[in-house]
Amino acid sequence: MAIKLTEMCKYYGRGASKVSALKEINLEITQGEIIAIMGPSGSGKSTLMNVIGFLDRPSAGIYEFNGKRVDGLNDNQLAALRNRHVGFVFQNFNLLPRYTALANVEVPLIYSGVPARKRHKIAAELLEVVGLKDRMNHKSNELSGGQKQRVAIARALANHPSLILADEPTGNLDTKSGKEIMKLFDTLNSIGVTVVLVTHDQEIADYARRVLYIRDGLIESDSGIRKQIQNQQWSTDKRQGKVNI
Amino acid sequence: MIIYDALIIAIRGLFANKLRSLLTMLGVIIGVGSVITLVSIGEGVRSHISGQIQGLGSNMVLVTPGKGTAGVTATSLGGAVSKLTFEDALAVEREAASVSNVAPVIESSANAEYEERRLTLVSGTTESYNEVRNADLASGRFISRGDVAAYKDVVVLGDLVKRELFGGASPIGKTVKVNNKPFKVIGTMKKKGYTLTINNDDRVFIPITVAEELFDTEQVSMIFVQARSPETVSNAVDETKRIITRRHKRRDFAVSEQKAILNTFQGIMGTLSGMLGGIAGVSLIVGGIGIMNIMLVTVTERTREIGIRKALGAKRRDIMIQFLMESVFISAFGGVIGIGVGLWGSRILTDIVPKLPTVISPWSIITAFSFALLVGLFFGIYPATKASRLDPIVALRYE
Ligand SMILES: Nc1ncnc2c1ncn2[C@@H]1O[C@H](COP(=O)(O)OP(=O)(O)OP(=O)(O)O)[C@@H](O)[C@H]1O
Ligand SMILES: [Mg+2]
Repeated sequence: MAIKLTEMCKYYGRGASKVSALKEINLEITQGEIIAIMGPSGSGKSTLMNVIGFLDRPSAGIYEFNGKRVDGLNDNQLAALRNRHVGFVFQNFNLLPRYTALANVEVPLIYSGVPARKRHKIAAELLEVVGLKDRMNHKSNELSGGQKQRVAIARALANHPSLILADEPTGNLDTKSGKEIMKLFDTLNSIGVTVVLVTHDQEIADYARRVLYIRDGLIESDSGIRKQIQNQQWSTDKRQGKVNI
Repeated sequence: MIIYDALIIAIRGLFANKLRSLLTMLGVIIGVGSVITLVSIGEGVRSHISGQIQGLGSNMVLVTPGKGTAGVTATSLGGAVSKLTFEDALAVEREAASVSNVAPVIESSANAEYEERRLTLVSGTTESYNEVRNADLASGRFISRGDVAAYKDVVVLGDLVKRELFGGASPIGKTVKVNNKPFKVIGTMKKKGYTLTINNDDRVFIPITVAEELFDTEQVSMIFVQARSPETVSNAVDETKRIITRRHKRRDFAVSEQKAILNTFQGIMGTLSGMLGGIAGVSLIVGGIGIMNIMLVTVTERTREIGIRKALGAKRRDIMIQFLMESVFISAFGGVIGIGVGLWGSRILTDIVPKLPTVISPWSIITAFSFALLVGLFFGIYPATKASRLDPIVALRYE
């Protein structure tokens, strides 16, 4: 898994009401990283997550996934990429309310064509991993916030994604549950899954080995400078006087 | 995604809104039910009339005055001046090789009187009549060749006339006055019911020669000609035409086969059934619009669900199939219930109105059901397409 964004922009609306949610983002993410994205509200964090996760298309710039450009792909091709490679954990869970925890976890498996029996098995195992074995057959609207979040994580893991995108996964949780969720991400990361998460919580960000600050649609700072592209980024940032170490 | 999964998702969706799904289904139920019921009425009337036309007698050819083809009605219209006579009938019987029996009939209404008085239909005919018309006797005997030749004042009573004038008592040997002329009762007919508009039980038979005198006419209302076998019917038609034309020097009469009359009626009634079905079919289309309406509401309500599914990897086709399945399921399930309602409706109808015969045609069930499915599919396409085209981001943001 490798992601490379080059001068990627995202606009909303047009004319006078045009909003630049992201401006010339240059970013490279490699296999096995765990990245925290931080920044003030409205800075473009969720937008960036959506673009990375193939939910939204960049308005300009280049997005390469595993060396192949994805900005020209059609809806169905993007859907397949989301299904196979990405596990989303949304800020507001986005579970299907009338469905049981088990059925929710099965949804991505339906669209990857896994037969029913195998689906049940996989989903049950994942729910066990996130510690919800006894809540498997509860409707999702009967679960607590932390339990919902764990169902959402189990669902994100269903198709063995190489990339987990979690938008404020601990935002609605108390510190204890938040830490449990972070431990789970840590474990996943240790088996080679790339994790990108958005957070406002510095303590949560400390779990990540790389922290990205975003302001007004621009990457303000990037802590984990380990590669060439980041060096470029670093120097650009330094030139713009944005780096504050 | 396999169809089975889509079906399960669709059924769950429908069960989440049971009342609404049921109300939507109602349109289809009523549509399919009324198609089946209305067509069953049409088909019932058709088979009833066909039965009656067949009841005219087998291998039957009908000669009527005038040029009309649907000879049955020519006399009742009373338009043409009859040129047909008893002599014509005798000539056909004598000369036509493919003809086995000829029964001329002079018909007129007249009063029959015993103690009570009753206006009834008097038919002057010959001994061949009950042969040709499959008319069976209940008691006594029918008019004989001798009665006709000897101008005997004898009468055979139809079942209803007998019951009206004599009640349970046997009328044989009694004297009944027809238009004030005394006739001796020699027989009674079995109950036969209607042939088209004529009540076969509300009539009396007298020798044709006596009728000529009684009504002071030589005009024969119709001549029933019976061919020897089904194969010789067309020969019988040709010969009858030739013989009467030779005698009249022109074709001032109409000859029609039972089969031709039957075909005409079958055709008319077929069209009628089709029209009834068509009218009911319109209600199915209305039902379809109801489905579309509800599906559009459903798609809007479930925008978020669609967003979630798309975010998790559902392709356009997956969403499309899911919603199409819902609308097709509504129409299929409604169609099945509608078939039940239709069958029940046509049964109830005959129970309430016994004179309205209904015949369920499998054809109408198949057509109504497939049409319902098509309607569900057709009216489901637009909402399903709308759902499948939703942008995942926009859908996820929908409140
Ligand atoms: N669909 C949209 N139409 C118009 N503007 C949008 C849309 N989505 C996002 N924006 C704008 O883009 C900017 C970035 O939004 P985004 O949701 O990425 O912020 P965020 O960093 O996730 O904020 P928060 O921390 O509050 O979640 C905001 O100014 C927002 O108003
Ligand atoms: Mg956000």
